[in-house]
Amino acid sequence: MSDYKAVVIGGSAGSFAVVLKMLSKLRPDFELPIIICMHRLKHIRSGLAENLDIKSSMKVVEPYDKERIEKGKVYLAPSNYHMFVEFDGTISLSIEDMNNQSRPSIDYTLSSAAASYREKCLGIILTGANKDGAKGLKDIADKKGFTIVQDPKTAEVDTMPKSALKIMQPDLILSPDGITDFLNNLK
Amino acid sequence: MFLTINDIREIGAQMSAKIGVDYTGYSINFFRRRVIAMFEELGVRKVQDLESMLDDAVKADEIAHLMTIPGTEMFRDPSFWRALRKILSGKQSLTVWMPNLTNGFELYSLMVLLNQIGINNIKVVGQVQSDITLKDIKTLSIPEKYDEVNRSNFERLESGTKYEDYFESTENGIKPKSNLLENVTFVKGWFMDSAVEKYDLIIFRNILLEYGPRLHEKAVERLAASLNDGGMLAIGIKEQLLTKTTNLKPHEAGESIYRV
Repeated sequence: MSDYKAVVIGGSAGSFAVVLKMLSKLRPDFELPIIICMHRLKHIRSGLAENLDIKSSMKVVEPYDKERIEKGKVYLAPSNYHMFVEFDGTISLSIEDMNNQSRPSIDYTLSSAAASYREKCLGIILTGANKDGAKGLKDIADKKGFTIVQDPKTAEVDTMPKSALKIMQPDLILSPDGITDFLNNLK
Repeated sequence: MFLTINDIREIGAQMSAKIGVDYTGYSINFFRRRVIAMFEELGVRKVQDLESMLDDAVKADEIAHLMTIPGTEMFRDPSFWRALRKILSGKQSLTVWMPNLTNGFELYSLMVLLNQIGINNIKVVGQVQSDITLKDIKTLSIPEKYDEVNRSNFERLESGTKYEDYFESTENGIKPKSNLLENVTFVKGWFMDSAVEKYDLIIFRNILLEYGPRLHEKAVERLAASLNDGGMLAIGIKEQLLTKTTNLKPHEAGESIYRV
C-alpha cells in the first residue's frame, strides 16, 4: 500500500450498493484513507455514512471542513457540499456553484486528489448516470496515478464509466468484486 | 488560465489593498478558483491587467462582488432553521448581525423565520462587500424553475405558514415581499474592520469554508467579541471552530450553533 497515499472513488446512480459491498469486504487492516464522492439527495443529511459505517471495518465519516485525512478512515462527501483534497493533507468543503449539475462534484474531488497526491493517487469511477468524474479520473491518470473504471457491463447505469472510457484509458477495467479484490491485494 | 502560487499571492495582496477585504487570508485553492472564475467573467487575460481594473472604483466593486459565493438556496439546511426558531421563540427583542451577505438567501430566510416567530423588536444589520451585491439583495428575483428547492425547504420548516405569505410571483420571477426588509439596515465593508458592536445573534454560515486557518481563527475571535452575554454564533453545519481562545460553547452542536 506504500505505493499510494489514498483511494479516491466517484459514483452516482447505483454506486451506493457497490460501495457498501466493497467496504464490507475490504480486509480489516486496510489502511489507506478512502475518499468517496457520491451524488446524493441534497436535503438528506444523515443516514448514508451511518449505513456504510455499520458494514465497514473502517470508520466512515462525513468530514468537516479542514479535517485532517487519516489512515484507516473513509471520507464521504457531505450532501450539498463540494469536497476537495488539499495539499496539506486536509479536506476542504465548499458551496460553490454546481459542476455537472452536481454538488458534490466528483470531478472536483478527483481532480484535487490528483493535484495533491499525484502518482500516489488511486482513482476509481463506478456506475453513474452522468459524465461527472470522467475529467477527474483523467487528471489522476495525467499525474501518473493509478486508475480503475467499473466495467460498464456490470454498472447499473453505464453513463459514468463510459464517459471516463471515452476520454482516457484506465489502468484497469474491473467488476465491483474485481475492484475489491484489487484493493485487498494491495501490498 | 494557470496561476502560480506567486501569481495568487500577488493578486491577493493587490486585491486586499484596493478592496479592503483580507484576501491574503483566504484558502489558497479556494482563492485560486474564485480568481480564475472572476478573470473569465471579466475577460482578464493577464494578471497585470488586474491592477488597472482595481484602480477603477466601479470595476473594483464588481470584482468584490464576483469574489463572493452566492448562497445555494433559501432555508438551506431546514433543520438548522427549525432549531433556530425553537431557540428564539418567546424572545421579545433581538439584534442580529450578518457580516458577509452574498445574494440575500440567508437574509430572507432569517427574516421569514423572525416573522413566523413574531418578535416585536428586531434589529438586523446586513453587511456586504459590494454595491452590486446590495442591489442584488434588494431586487432579488428568482426564476420560477429555480424556486422549487426554496419551496421544498420552506415546507420542511413545518411552520404552519404559506410560502405565498412571504414571496410573490411576478413576471420577472419569484420575489420576496418588500416588508421583509423593514427591520434591516445595510452597511458596506469588510466585517473584520467594523467597529465592535454587540449582538444577540450572528449568522455566518459557510463563509469560514473560504478562509485559511489564520483568517479563520481571527474571524471567529472577531465574531465572538461581537456577541452579547448569552449571544449565539451560527456557522455552517460542516464548519468547525478551530480556535480554543474564545468562550464559545456548543449550544446546538448538530446545527453548529454556539453560545457565549
